[in-house]
Amino acid sequence: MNATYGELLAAAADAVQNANRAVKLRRFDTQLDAAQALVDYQGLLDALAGHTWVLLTPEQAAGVRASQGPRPVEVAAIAMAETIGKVTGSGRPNPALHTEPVTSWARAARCLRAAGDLLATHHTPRHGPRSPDADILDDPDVRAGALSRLGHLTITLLDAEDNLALRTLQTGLHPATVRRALPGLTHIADIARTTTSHDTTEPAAPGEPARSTSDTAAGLARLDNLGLVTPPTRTDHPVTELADRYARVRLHAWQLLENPDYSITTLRDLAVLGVATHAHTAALHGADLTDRGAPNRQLKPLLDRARAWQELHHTLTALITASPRDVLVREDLIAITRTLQTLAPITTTAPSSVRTAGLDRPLAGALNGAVATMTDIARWSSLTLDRLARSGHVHIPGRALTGEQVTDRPDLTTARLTGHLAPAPDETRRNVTATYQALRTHPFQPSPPAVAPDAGIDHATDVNVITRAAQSGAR
Amino acid sequence: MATWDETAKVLVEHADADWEGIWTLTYAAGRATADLGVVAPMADAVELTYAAMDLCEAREELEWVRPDLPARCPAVTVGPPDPVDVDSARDAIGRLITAALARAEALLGCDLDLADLACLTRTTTQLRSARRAVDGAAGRATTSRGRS
Repeated sequence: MNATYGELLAAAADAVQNANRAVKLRRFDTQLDAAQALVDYQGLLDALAGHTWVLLTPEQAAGVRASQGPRPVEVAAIAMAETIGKVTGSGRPNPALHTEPVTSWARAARCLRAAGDLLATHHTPRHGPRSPDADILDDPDVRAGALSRLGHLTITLLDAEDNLALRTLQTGLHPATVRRALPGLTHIADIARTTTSHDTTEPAAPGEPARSTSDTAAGLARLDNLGLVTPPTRTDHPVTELADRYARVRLHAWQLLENPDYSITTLRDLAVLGVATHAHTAALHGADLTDRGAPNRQLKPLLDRARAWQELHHTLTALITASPRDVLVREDLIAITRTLQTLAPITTTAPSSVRTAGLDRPLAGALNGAVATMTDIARWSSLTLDRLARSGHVHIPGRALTGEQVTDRPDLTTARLTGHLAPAPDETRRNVTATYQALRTHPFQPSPPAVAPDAGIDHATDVNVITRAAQSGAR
Repeated sequence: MATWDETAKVLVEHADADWEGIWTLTYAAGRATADLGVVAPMADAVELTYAAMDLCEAREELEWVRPDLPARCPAVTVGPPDPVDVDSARDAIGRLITAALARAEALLGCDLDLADLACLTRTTTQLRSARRAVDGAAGRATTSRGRS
């Protein structure tokens, strides 16, 4: 199972609700159950404090403490974690971790700790980035939103303190034992309420503009969609496999920045993926791709993107580097294109109105996310190619140079005559960079210009789906 | 599309049954496929892009075992594409690929070391994949011969 951060947090919240309800409605069967519940309750408190330190690193906490104008939600979150720490103690591992989770509180703690581990996979031991999403918690609004959510969870948990004390005492546990475990945690709940009472969209610093609610929501959605940095590819369903493979390609494209494979072939493969992604997405939404002259006006941006990726592939075809391709990118490319040919065929005899009538929403969602992914890949590929070219790794066969290209360039003229490799002409590099720049933005901006719908076919719903993906699917 | 037909015919007739011949035919087919993809309707263009990718890989396979091929062989292209007659252009590309395959198969009958044998195997696989893609693109677009 490939759980995301949001799913783990939601599972933790559900488990807390279940445990709270259970302890409110019925007694414990045995003293052992009561003792286990006390241990697990403390374990969850410890996990909540620990997760605060995942969202807010010790270095960031030190910055908050030293700041003249810290964000109140971060100050409150630090106070909450420190106060919980005084209650649960500093012994590691926490006693609750010695046993398999039995109660729902223990399951909630496990989900919370797993969520922290999931975030940790996006960083190196020195907190360097291991994925393009490693910077998600650097956004103060996202961090504040996540801390605020943690505060809500803490309040919910602490609501059960009185009920738990009652139920444990009913089993005959020694009052001193119960008092030691539940000494009265209202003060922690008060601090937790402070974390939730601040507006997370307020300016990060005096004088800065306030962020819009939708920006913050988009940032939190990106955090919630975060999975493991190297998840296994699920092959049980073609749509989930498609999403997993796109995620893996995205990661590899990003990794080329730090660890270039010096291969233009990999960049060409990514360009082919760009062509396939946009063309098949347009086909899924009902575009007629068999007629060059009459594309649907609302889906035209997708087809324009497909053409731009194709032009890019065409230009990159003429370039040569010394290294072989990235085999994983190629493997994913082949698998993705095969899946797309099956799920979103470009050529079909059905009229577009029929095709859009039964639109596969999960597939549409996956492909719209893929369109957003391609904008990231364009940005990183541009930087990768620029780096390759600057380090002198990109060449062109001398015999492929045109007369225009070799004019006023004695070195290129010599290469053309001898057939040796020559550095890629500046003009070619500029063209490629310009195309990549155009591909960096989503084809459907959040506020697209108004266009008249085609007569007889209503694609507005589909375009809205794509537009929403531009806002929330961009990761 | 006379230019493409004629150039392809000359290349097919005169390319030798050796590494150089395969490289020249593959190079010409790859460039032609990429050029045609840019002007063809998107339904064909996607398949042609896949074919161009395969042809590019086939050429690179040859260059791994014969790095001097790009410098020694004539890098011939078949000229600018004509969007009006996509089917004819596709036929020309198909002939180039078929000719490259025929030469690769002829070369497989020669005395080869293991590296050359592996290279030819991979190249042949990519060429066949490209031919399938080019053939598969045939007849899908409405801007075929006789239209517009």
